[in-house]
Amino acid sequence: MLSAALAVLEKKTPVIRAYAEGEFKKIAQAIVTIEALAAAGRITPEEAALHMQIQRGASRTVLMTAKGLGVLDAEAAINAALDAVRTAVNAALPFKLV
Amino acid sequence: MVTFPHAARRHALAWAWLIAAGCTTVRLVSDYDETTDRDVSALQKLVDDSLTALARQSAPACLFAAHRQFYTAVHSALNALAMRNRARGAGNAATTDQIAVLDTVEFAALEHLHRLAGARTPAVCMDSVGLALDRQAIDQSFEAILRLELAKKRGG
Repeated sequence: MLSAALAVLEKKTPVIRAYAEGEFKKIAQAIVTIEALAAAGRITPEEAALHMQIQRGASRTVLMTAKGLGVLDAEAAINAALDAVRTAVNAALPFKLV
Repeated sequence: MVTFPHAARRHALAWAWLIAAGCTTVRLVSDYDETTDRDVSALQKLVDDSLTALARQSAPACLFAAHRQFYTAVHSALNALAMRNRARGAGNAATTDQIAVLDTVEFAALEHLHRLAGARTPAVCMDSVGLALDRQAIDQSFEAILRLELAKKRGG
């Protein structure tokens, strides 16, 4: 039961991590550029804060997706474990119960 | 009255739990919604087309007054999406929250930036590099919403 659940998690976790890392790299670069624009006087401090607000918004939506994908993976792991139980129950009985 | 030995009762309970567990499928997140997928994709295209046009314009075409309708349309579309996903229940909380961030955090800031640029003397277009960064971030949010929605298909 446990090995069925772990097999699902081991397969899917690296995908979530790669997605989140890629997105946060872009956001980090954007923040550096915003700071450079402000330092060069191209945008005011108020405008810089608003650009940063948009980047923070993107960070939040990306994190929510990473979390949501994790919950879906946990769901898949739980259901894989329950499938293993179903198989074990049917194997232990002289007839198919579930 | 018939009573069962203690050990037999424990075995029966263990089998009952195993059978019950084997019968159920757990659902922690709501199912995929084609309408949300379609409407988010359509809105992303509208935003992309509008911001591409904005990036090419010079004053006065680039000023906020000429784009007021765009922000109204975006807010209205996001409001409708938020309502639909709230109505779909608690298993959809992440998508509902993402839509709220896009609306009240990102597009609210973009609109404010647009107004500020037009309020300068003389009025100017939004900074081109800043606008490009904003577009990238907004696209990342759209992609995040779609990525999660598509994952709800669960390989189906």
